[in-house]
Amino acid sequence: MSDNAAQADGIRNQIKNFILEEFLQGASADELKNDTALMSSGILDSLATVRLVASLEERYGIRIAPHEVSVDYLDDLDAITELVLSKQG
Amino acid sequence: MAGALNTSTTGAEVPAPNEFRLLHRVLAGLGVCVVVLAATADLLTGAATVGLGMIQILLMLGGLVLAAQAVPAWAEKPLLVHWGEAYRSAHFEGILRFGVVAFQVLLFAFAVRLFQIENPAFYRSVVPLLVFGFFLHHLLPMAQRLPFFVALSLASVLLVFGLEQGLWLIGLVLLVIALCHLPVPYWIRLAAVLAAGGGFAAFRSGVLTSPWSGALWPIFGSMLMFRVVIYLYDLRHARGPASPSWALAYFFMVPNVVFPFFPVVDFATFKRTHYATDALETYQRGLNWIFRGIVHLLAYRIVYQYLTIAPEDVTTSADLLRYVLTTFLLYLKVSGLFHLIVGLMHLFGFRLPETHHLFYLASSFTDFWRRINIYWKDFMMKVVFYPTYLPLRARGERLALIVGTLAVFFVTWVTHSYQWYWILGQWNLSWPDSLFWAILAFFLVFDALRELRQGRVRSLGRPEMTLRRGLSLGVRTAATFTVISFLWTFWNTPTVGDWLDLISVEPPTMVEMGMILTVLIGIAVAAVLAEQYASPNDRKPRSTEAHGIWGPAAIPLTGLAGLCLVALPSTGPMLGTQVQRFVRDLSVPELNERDAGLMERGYYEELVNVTAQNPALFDVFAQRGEDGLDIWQAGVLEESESFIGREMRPMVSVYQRGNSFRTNRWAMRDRDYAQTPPEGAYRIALLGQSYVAGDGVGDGETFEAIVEQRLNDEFAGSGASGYEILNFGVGSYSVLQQLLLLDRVATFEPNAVYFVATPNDAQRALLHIIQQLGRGVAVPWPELAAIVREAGVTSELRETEAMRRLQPYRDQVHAWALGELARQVGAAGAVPVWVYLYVPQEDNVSSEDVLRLASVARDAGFVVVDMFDVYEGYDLSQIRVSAADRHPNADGHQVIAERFYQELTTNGELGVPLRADLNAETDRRDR
Repeated sequence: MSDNAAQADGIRNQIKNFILEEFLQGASADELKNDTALMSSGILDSLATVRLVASLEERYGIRIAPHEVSVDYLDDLDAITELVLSKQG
Repeated sequence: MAGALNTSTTGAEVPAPNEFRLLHRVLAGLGVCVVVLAATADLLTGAATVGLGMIQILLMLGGLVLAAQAVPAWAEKPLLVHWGEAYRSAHFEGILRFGVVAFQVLLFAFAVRLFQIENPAFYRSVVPLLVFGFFLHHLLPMAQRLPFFVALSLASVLLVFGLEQGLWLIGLVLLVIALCHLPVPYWIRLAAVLAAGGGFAAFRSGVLTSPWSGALWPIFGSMLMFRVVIYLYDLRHARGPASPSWALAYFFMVPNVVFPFFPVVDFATFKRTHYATDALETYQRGLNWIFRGIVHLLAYRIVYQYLTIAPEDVTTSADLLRYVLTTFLLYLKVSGLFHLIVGLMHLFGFRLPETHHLFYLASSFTDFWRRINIYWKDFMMKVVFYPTYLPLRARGERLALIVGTLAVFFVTWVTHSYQWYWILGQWNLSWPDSLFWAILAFFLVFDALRELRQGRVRSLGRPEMTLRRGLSLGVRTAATFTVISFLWTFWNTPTVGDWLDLISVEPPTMVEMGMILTVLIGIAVAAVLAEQYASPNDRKPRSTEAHGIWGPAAIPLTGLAGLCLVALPSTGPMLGTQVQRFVRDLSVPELNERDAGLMERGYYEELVNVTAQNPALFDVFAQRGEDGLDIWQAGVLEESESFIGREMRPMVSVYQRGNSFRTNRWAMRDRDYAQTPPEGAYRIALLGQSYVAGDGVGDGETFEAIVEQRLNDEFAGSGASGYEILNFGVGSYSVLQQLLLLDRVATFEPNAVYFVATPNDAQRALLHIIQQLGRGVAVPWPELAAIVREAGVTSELRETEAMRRLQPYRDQVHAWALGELARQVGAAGAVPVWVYLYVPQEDNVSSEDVLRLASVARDAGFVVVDMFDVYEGYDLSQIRVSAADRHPNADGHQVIAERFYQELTTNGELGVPLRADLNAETDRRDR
């Protein structure tokens, strides 16, 4: 596994853990898959979304613009990871 | 060809562009010519018949396929080659799945036609275009589908508005799109679009006169007012269209041309969802939503026609419960319409998200906001909430949340009015409207802060339902429903005072408490059941393997087939007369009795926000053209300081709702007459409301004008030297106003005075009393004033409460008015005649009611002419102006004239001199 892939996995797992702890208490890690729809399915409503954004900004030292708070960038773990990686350059 | 029916259809198969070939250019040019020809056929023929309309649509589609040859990718893979490849790769399951979808699409087309879903332009023109378009669209290579969808959308504009006005609409929208793409900095483009918006607003308000028809405004507004905001937002963030086709598809998306009230589709979602998953699964989901939309729309019709209650009739807690429930249920029209629209978009590959999700079963205010009009919520989140919240977050999460939520509701309040301005040409600003949004914002902020503090239960699957959880969910849902339904009622009431009057009913009895509890328990149980069994919001696509071919199609397939069966003329009668009658009532969309009556008297014309929450009236007002003013707005009537309230002005000539409307020097909607009758002439004064004045027909087309002409043609010189029927009809005049008119009528020395009565006469008299008291004019007759005093009605009371108090005296007021009319006419030496004229709407009054009214009139001293069955044997839809305007049209007046003529010439009680018996009549008057 390359460094980039390992980094992506690490970020994905951190985000997954955050979502499970903050919004999906009681759900098992297996249920939340990398492509599980989060925003479009309503799991991440507006309040949860802004809390996730705050967490991402704080944890990874990035800024997420308002227009990036959308299904295009935050609908599943893969998309969120990609956004974080792109912001980290 | 059949391979196109398979499921391997995603947006990835885009062939590389190829150079044009001469043949393709020729075909494209030919296609455009055919489309233009089909559109102009509308101008040549008026598209009067279904057959012509179908030919027009087929021509258009053929033209579109030819025109699509212009797309370079065609040169890469001609259509026949594509079909050949598809045929070779076809498999049975794919064909079967498409067959099931196709069958449902055809059933949908039949069902919307049979039930006259929404407007005729939709079910007569756009649906056939969509159905044939769907088949062609699916059979095209993927690269051609979006351009074809664009062509179909543009063709729908030409089909509905005709070539000239259609081109205006297309041109105006293209102008705005072009401004969005000017090769200048973003802020200059934004300023240009805003300037254009200001210019259009000047046209919309009438400050500038537009060269295009006023009928374009609702659709123009609907296509641009919010979409251009989203489009500019996405352009700003470099998420603009990948090609011009996307921009055109987004702004002109095909069902929009017939639906001014349209969901706010997000541009990024529009693009992202296009053939994002299996095509046939997308179509099937669309058909499920289409069926759900039709069910909502039919349920709305049932509520609107059979269950709604007028605010003035609310006197008990049971009435209030009914009023509150039905007012909230009227929103089914919007949810139905949005399901239908988004379902149709699915048929062209746009797997858009759900627009509403079980909103009556919301368990909190934030939950309600997330479930009702989801597209609007997403729009507000995108352009208001996140851009407000994120910059403020550094100052604290709570502050950012409060400010962000309040900003959303402020913008929602303003843009609702903005929306009404573009669609209806009027601002919708009222205290109930403002307070509604303010209260809702307060609840939302409170609820959001609670969620922030306590968190919210979210789950990946269906959460386990325990007794405790079920009880909690049920109680919260019932409480939310109660508060929101009352708030909804508040929003629908013209003034805050009216709402307070409405809810100030007697405390509920035990029985009524039982009814209220039953409703709340029902809602609680429904919420628990929905949580357990209903589909979660916007689920992921299900694979065919897991659910089979028939499973996803079962509900729409059987439902649509069932609707067709009960409504088809050949099968409907098997279900019995009562069911058939019910289905027929459901199939004819029209205003309910109360709204129709209020429309007739011009009540709604003076209310600014009436259409905001009344979907039926919204349709009526949105479909009016530029000459859609009533006679009051057109300046035919003027206000009077006396109890008569308003009078027709003399020598007025206006063009109103497509007809010339002129008054003579005596302020009658009639030809000119001398004040003194000509020697030997027989003169009838005809009094009544808009049916007599001839709203809905041109000068000379009223039934009295037709009968007058015929009497003179056939009898002048024998029974009398001539016959004159003086039209004293005035729109929305009550019997009390007609009573005041009698002094003026008497100066024309009529031989007989005919009062044309309608079912709402008694109610209208009460309304007139209340309105005049409201403007400080006292009742001029002591007897009537005594009744009003006894009822406890004063000038300070609001209309709803005053009406509630006067209702018990309605028949007494009406009987008094009829007695006074007959007495005064008799005293003037003329024959008083009471003519009952049935309005062209089915089932609004029974023959027993007419007999009762006739008995009252006869007792008062009138000669009674009962024309209750005047329209028997006629198709009502053919003899009235429209479903929303029940006035007889020119054909309707012909029908009335024929019957009125028969009465005049055969009913001996009337004493119309037809031969040499005029002298006897003159003798009678002399005596």
